[in-house]
Amino acid sequence: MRQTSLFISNFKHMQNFLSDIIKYGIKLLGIFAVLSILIYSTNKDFYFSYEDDLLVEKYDAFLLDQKNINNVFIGSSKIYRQIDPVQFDSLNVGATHSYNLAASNLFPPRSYDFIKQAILGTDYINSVFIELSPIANISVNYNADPNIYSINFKKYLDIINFCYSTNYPTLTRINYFAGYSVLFAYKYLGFGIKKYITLSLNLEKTEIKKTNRDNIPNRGFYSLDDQLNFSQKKDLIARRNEFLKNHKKFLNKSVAENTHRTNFYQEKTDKITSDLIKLADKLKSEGKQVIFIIPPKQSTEHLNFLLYQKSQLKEYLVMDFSDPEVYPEFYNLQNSFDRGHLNKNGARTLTKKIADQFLMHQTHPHHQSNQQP
Amino acid sequence: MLFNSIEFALFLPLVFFVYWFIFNKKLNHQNLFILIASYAFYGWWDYRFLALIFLSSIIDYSIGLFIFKTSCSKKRKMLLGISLLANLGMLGFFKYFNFFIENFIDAFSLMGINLQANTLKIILPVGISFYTFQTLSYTIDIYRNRLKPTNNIISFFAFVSFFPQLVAGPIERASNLLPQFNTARIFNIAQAKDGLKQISWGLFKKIVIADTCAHFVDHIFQNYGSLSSGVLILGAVFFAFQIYGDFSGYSDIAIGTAKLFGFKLMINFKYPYFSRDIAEFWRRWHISLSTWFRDYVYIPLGGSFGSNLNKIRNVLIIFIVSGFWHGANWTFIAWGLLNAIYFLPLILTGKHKTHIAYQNTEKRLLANFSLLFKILFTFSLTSFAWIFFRSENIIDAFNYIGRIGSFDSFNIPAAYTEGIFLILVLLAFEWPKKNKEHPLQFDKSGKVVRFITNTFIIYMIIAYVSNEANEFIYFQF
Repeated sequence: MRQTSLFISNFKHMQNFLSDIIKYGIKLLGIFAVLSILIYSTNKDFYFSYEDDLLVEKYDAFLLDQKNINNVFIGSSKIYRQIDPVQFDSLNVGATHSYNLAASNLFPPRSYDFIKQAILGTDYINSVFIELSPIANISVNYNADPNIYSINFKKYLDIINFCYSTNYPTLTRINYFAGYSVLFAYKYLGFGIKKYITLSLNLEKTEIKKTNRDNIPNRGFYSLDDQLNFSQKKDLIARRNEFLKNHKKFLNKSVAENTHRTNFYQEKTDKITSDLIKLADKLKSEGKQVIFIIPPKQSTEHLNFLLYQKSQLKEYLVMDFSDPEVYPEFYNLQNSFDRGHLNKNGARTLTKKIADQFLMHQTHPHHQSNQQP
Repeated sequence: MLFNSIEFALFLPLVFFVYWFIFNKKLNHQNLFILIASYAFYGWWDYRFLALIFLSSIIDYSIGLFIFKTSCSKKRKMLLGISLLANLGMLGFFKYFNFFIENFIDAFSLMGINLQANTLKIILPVGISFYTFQTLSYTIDIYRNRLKPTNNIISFFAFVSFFPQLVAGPIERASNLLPQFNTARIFNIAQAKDGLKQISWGLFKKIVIADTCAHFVDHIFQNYGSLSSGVLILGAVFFAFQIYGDFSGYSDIAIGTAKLFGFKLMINFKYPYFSRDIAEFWRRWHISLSTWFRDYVYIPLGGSFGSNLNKIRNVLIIFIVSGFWHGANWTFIAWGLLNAIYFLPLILTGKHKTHIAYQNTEKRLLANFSLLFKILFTFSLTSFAWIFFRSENIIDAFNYIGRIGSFDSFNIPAAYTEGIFLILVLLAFEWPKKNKEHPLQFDKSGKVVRFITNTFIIYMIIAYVSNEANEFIYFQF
């Protein structure tokens, strides 16, 4: 009897407690959102204070040599690990002086911000190679500085439009929507806003600079093999061993995923792709040649989207290396490091293919290779 | 699972709801649920640690019962010896084994004998020093006939592993916490709300104060050779507030969390940097450990009674042991020794109990320069000792102090303004509330003042949240 009355009493108190907490929480959320929107609306440019360390360091090194550089590669690890600018230039007989400005996890829409910051408006860049890649899956990186800085109201609406317009499987679209919603809420409720405030007040801390970055010497290129040999990082060793153990299964799966090419065209154009086209048009209007690359080893759902993007980029050269029937060499053990990346040997092969196609395009510009090879 | 992590932010409400809504009908079910939740919380770090806490719990549960049942003093002594040997043995092996081996080898190499270093790769189980002391106090109190053992194994296991205070205290006494496991808990709104406020205050101290200071401290202690005297002094001050924010912040979160579940844990920090002498500092800093050493080491040794020689011996022992409890490094021992040196003049002149609590006449800091001087002097002494605590080794500590002694420049770069500003904010909150359990407890303030204060604290926490939750310093102890 006593236990039952205690339970009822506890239950009632608990209900009151929860209702008070919810009311208070709603008030707080409102206040925090207003405060944060006001602070962020000062709209100051702290792009490079928020960007990924590796990318910032690569960009710093690039700036030191900027007057000599006329060609850049931009994208994720599939560009960073797989295109050697030095080899590329040697194959182009001195016509280009290239730099690999790609970094792991540099995906749209953040990668478009980087292109705008680093390339748009420069007068020394003649050509830009941009990876066609899926948008970033930020479900686990929602609190990373670069993503926080990148997201804003417009981009969030673009992502909602993207989730609505594209033919991605429903679960993937829900995942994208949830991830970007958390990121958006995280930023505009004020999480981590102190960084923006201290930067605005010019109270930046004494940063301890990272040293021994070993990606700079090869003009931004650093193959996975070289990194493995140099650093002996545990996660890299594990990735490599897992691949070597199951390489047949992984390679067969990759071939199957990239052979299944459903090039779906649709009436609706998503905002992410239209932003990319606008960006490419702007670069082109500045006299820069824009070339897109679809690297090998995609997953089926992303490949379908990339093929759709390729079909929208009719004005531009799109080098597509994903088809295993055309490029079987990217789907064998000799050229692979792990499930999604080429090794140093594979990178050499890919770089040569890109250089060959680039040369051919320079000599026969009307040989529109959107339909290449 | 860290208190300042996303995992805990999900874990706490889940456990809270299940505890009050599902397991509310039977006390034993509630305790069993606490036990399961606590083991999940602890196993989150490494499930292998669970074996140790289980072993420690089962040993002391059984020995407690055996000691109580037997009246033979020889047997009782032997049983206590087994408990001490088992608990201190585990602690010694996991925490101090490598330290002793390395120092043994160093000692032989001084004599020209080179031994091969063959230390083991031992992982230090999180919080082992805390729960070992908690279970030891249970057995010792039964041995001293000050406590009756519990027959309820679930209550005892839940008492040892209670997740809010498991990994970094407060080190609870069985006489305070264990009876709470055997009494029906009533949900009290005022207590729960106060618990939430205390959690907020703890998170503020950890995320805003300690983590910000940590950034400066790491930079200053790593580069002390190239920094000016002024910056090095500031480095010691920053570390004083880092360790205070970190550790007392953890205690506040632990106490606040326990309040949500209807428990009352002991106060662990009473605004120690407002102490007027070192003796008072030690009555306000890490109270659960200081009183543990007082009750189980210092008083059995004779305490402050007896000859001056005895007093000196007792003070030295308790402070050196306390330093060694923090870790297997000479820096901690030096820190303990230094505090003993600070303490000795007070105890020898009988002035160690001059300052017990703040009286009404002593509340106005600005109107009382003598008070301000005492507080600043005590703070300077403790900050100086913290240099040893923070340094990697003794040589670094002396070099750091040597660099301060060069008095080359006292200019403070603008980069450190943020840290200084935050410390002042902390002190501004704490000084008027120094007789309260935490500064977010209000007496007469209007609703608006309370709302603005709480909102400010929570917004600061959110604003200072970083990408990765930083560990609490005391987890390593």
